Amino acid sequence: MHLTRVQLSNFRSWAELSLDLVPGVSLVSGANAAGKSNLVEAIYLLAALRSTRAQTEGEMIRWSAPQPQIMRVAGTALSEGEPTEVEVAVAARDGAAGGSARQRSGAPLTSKRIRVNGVARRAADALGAIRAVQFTTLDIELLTGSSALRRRFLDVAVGQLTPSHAAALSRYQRALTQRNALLKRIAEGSARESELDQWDDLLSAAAAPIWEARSAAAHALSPQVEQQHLALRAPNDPAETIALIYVPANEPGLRESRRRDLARGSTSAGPHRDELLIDLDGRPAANFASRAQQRAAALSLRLAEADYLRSQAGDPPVVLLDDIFSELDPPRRERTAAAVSAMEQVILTSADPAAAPFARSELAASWQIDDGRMRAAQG
Amino acid sequence: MQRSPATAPTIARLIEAFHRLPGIGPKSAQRLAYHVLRAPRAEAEALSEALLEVKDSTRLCAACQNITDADPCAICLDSDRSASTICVVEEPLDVAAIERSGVYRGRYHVLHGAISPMDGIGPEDLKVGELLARLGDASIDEVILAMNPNLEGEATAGYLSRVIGAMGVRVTRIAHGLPVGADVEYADERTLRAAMTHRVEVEQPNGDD
Repeated sequence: MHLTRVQLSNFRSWAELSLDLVPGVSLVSGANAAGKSNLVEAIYLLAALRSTRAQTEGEMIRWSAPQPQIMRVAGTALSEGEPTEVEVAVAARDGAAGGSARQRSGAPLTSKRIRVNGVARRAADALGAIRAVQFTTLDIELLTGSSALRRRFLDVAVGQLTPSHAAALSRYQRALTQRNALLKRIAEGSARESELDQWDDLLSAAAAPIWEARSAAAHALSPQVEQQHLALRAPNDPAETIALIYVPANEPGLRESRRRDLARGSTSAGPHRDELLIDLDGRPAANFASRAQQRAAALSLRLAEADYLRSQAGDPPVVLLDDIFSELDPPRRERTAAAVSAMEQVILTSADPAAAPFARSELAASWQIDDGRMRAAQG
Repeated sequence: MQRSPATAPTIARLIEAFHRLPGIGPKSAQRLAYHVLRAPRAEAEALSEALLEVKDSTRLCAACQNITDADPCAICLDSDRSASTICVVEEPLDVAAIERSGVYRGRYHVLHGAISPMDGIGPEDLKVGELLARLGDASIDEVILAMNPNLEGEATAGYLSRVIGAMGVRVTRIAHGLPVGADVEYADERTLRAAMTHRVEVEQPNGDD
């Protein structure tokens, strides 16, 4: 699939932006803080339907937006000739006095509205309307960061293909919160242990579809990661093997771990404790790999994610590369470029256009951001 | 809510009182307050009397725990209704909804909530003990659970079916699936899955009646 048009209104640094897009590779260049990452974030929002960067959704609204403060991102994608339009709007909820009510963090309280082809949808029902994969310099955290980030990596990939996954996750999360609250009440003596029975049943039932979906995704991603990792390696590098091992936290079962849960006051088994292990040459990449190896592994994961979405959906996702080339060595830049070029549409940003491994003739479009304005780059 | 110096304190107090009601936003609260202000004194008196009366003269029915003016309530007193079936619901409004359907001719039991540990609500905070006491009477042969089909409703139904099942009373749960008049095409996946799981046999037409 490819995007034909993206419109931003009061999104972070952008007051208004309307961009016609074409298939192939498009380059967006501009100085640091010119708004490149904000543009990529906005485009990815059309697929993920929630920000990957913002702590609160209010952050996405341009600080100096006029009242009523509303940010809006809309995009149209063509998939096999069929257009799909997705619109995400976040409004700062108005306080009684006409000012924006603010949370302690200073960000406005917000409400989000999502439309697909003009029809209001819940996020869970709108996922997958536009599919995208985003590569950023923060991807290295997939290896070095907490297991929550790796679970999210799986969930985002699954969610774009199986919209019911998001609903399953939120149902599980709520059941987990309830069960944990009950464990605390039992510890305080204000509830009986027998009350756990129905929550164990509900939690197990809620966990099953998550384990099934994550396990299927990890199984499909694993060979694709291996293949991408081999393809990215320099010819004279020793072949380094990468392995993706999904470890669902389903042992022992909920009932068996009840003693332990009662003692610690929280649920010790379940999808919220799943791990996705990433090994390089048989050793955990988080502890034993160099920074450069970790960066390469993160790149392999993202490329595999794009492959996975393409093979499962039968249509390549939109690929977004946010300034990732500056930290890669030139040979790896070339091989990454070759890998993503196979996709239908690639949008890449760069502070240093020379670092982008595409000749001018390979670019379908090229823009330059100056003073918050987008101009077609001069030839 | 912020008070504007342009609003007299007595009006601001009324606005705040309305704003505390469920479903009433700041704008609606303002509109209601100014409506009361402009209305004749008799209308305001009627409103305040109705408010106090609902607090002073309603109580819970000792049997079904529904809100009533007279104890026992009209439903529990109605001898035309079956005393052998109890339909358990979360809220008094659920009784009203089932009554509107006109299909149910048994008794009710109102729990006044659902189990939700994160809100500090366990079985002992609901009218569960009162329900179990009613079941001690051997004349009850079916308990219909009509909790909401959400997580807390399911937990409540799960708890009750365990406890009541152990007493040897038949427990049923109202079906969940597609709302009548809805299109399969527009139903969400969870509803469809529930509808599939709880599908029922189609009665074969007999032809000879």
